[in-house]
Amino acid sequence: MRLVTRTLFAALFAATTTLAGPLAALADAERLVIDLVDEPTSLDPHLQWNPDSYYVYRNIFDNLLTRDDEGEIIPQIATEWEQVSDTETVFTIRDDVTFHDGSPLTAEDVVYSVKRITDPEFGSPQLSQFESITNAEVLEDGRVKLTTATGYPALFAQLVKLSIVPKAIVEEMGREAFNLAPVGSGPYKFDSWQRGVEVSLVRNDDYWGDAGAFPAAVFRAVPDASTRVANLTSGASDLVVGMDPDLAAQLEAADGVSPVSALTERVAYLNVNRNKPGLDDPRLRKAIAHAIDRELLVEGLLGGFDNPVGQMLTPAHVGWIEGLEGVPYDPDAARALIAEVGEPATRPFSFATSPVFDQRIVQALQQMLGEVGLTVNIEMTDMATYLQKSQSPPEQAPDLGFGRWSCACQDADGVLYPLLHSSSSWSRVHDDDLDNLLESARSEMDPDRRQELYGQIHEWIAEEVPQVPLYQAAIIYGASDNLEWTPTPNESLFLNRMGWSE
Amino acid sequence: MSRFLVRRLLQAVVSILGVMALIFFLQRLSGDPVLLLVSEGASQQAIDALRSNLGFDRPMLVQFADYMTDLARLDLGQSVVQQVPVAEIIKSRLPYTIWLAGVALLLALGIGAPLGVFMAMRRNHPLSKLGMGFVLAGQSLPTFWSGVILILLFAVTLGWLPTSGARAAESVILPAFCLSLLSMATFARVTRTAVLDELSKPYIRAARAKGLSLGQAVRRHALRNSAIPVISIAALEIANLLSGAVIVETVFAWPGLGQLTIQSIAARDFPIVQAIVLLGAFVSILLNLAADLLYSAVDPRIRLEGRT
Repeated sequence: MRLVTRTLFAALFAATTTLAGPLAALADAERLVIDLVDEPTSLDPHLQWNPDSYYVYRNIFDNLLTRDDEGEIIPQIATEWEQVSDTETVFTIRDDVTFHDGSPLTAEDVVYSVKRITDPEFGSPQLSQFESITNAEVLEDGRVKLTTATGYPALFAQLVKLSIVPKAIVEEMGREAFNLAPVGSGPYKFDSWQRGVEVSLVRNDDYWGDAGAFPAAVFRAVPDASTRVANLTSGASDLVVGMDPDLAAQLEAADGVSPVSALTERVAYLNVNRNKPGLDDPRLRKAIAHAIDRELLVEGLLGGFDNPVGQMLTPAHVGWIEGLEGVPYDPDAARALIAEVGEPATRPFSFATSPVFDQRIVQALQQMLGEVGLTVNIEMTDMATYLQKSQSPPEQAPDLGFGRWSCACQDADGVLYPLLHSSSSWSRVHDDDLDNLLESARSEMDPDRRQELYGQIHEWIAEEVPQVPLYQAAIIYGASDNLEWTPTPNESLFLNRMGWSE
Repeated sequence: MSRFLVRRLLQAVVSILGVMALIFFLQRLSGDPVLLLVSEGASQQAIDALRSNLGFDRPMLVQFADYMTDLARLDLGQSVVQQVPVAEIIKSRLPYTIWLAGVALLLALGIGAPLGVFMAMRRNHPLSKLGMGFVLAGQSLPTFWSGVILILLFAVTLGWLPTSGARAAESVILPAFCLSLLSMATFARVTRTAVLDELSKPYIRAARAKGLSLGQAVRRHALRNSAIPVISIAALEIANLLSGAVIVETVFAWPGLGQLTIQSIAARDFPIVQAIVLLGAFVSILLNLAADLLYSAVDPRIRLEGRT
């Protein structure tokens, strides 16, 4: 027994000495500490698609283009570009950029990055964002030509997420090693990754562009939102993600910290499956749209952070039409339409959701539909199953569904095409005229004409109600009052755009 | 003894194989992780490309055969989400969970057992009543709540301990204490009952009659005899500590296996979930075996051959 105890103690002692690092250095101007929900799944910029990963790697890698804080597309690795035809664009590449190992970034690396991410064999989760690119080549004058299958005005909006990786290093290290110790050309260099705990970056002092204010930055994995709030208020971290209106109120009340929010390019909506009995009647779909009070959702439940919208887009998107209100809240009109429809409207309707979404919103929608006389049953499943249901054939898919859509491109094509075009597995709509409109809008190179086409599509949506647009979702962070930073709709944390004031 | 061991080990192999097959197919019943990985609105071509890249387009039995073959070579496979060998991920997380559960077990036993002995010896003492209240509270407080309260009190308000994470040695104190609360209560309760039980036996009366004080009688005679139920509970409690770690690790951002389990299940990272389940099955089988062996060490009257 004594031996057992002694061994146990020895083991514990050994564990203490291995695990005990230096005392937690408090966050300050020297070292910015950011609490994410989870650690990045991978730091290879082409191998995953989730915020906790891109919050980190967008600081290690530069993109071909980027957006400024006002949302305008501006040069990054490409200094200028020229549209030589509807399907061909030629980019001039900066010649003063080096990767973190000192090797120069060349046009070859740009072409390699495009080919890597668009290769179906490579299996990038981001493939569909760049699928329109059919070829990339280095021209004789050292510029890069990208070719798309058709005219594709959203190309630039996609290229702001195209991270440039070093061809020679990736090929030499191999996929697995590069994922663990990435080398980019961005304002911060990869320093270390303690699995499950944190990723550390250090400033790249040879950066060609705006240098970061912080010599070092740490991204930690803190899954519990209340713990992130505790970290921030106790000064253990400077910036935390994933706040909701209730936590924002807590931060409001605490000293030295505040909620910081931005309206994103995520649109929340209620999906209406027009292939199901009852819902195949446009009057019932219109009634559902009339029954929803978006203002109440935003003011009553979301703390006023979000922004009600009447189009299946947000003001951050190309294709948003100022002043288009959509179907107004009018419960009396809804009741009248439901009475007209009669018996088919009396069956219970299934309403799909997942724990990822704000359940208060889902329940409020259920109640609003109940108040005009519809019976709605909420069906909650995990996210993977929910997505599978969204992808199933329209006749088997749920009657109603809650969703929040982001194309991460701020272009109408990324929202409306997948949700409404008959060729998309996410769409429950099959309408030849609408297909034509979506295809024309996708490839229309004249911005004014394109805007007109999207105006027609918004009108079609308001008339046919394949979805009821609800609100432009806000993203709420918690930040130390010393942190100077403006969050943007594209949900990025660019360290070199942050500052510190004592 | 050896026949007993062989039989138990064979049973263990069969149950582990059963568990592996069950978890493999159960996870796949509800689909694969591909839709969680791709960006929103991904085209069917992009979804199919990734699915085939990850091998989820193959028949399930083929996937299972591959998995078992790899397992026979001690290859746990690669994480679908992180694209890193599963063994490496488990290796980096396991020490944290062992450390957390170890400290929690020490706290639970170190506080719970003496408290139980005290409550048995001084049944009507006001401190005993307080102790019972503590036991009741420890058993009824959910850790996701008590954890946040502990953080607010000791880390935010008093500033004595780190709020979360595993950067410093003292980071373990709050999560370990939070995790140990339930087990501590169980140990206190079981020890109290066991000691009370022993104290009512004739040999203790004889010892007291001989002139031993209550304390001496407990120390010299009752304690060892009341250890058996505590040991069997301890084996169960270690398993409870490991499963309790799932919530505690999430609240305290402790980078152990518990947090990894939750994340991997939500992300449908099948190879990691399989590895954790495999590990869990091993641990619980080993613990039960160890408890059986310990019984005979503590009480020589228990013959292992006689038990099946």
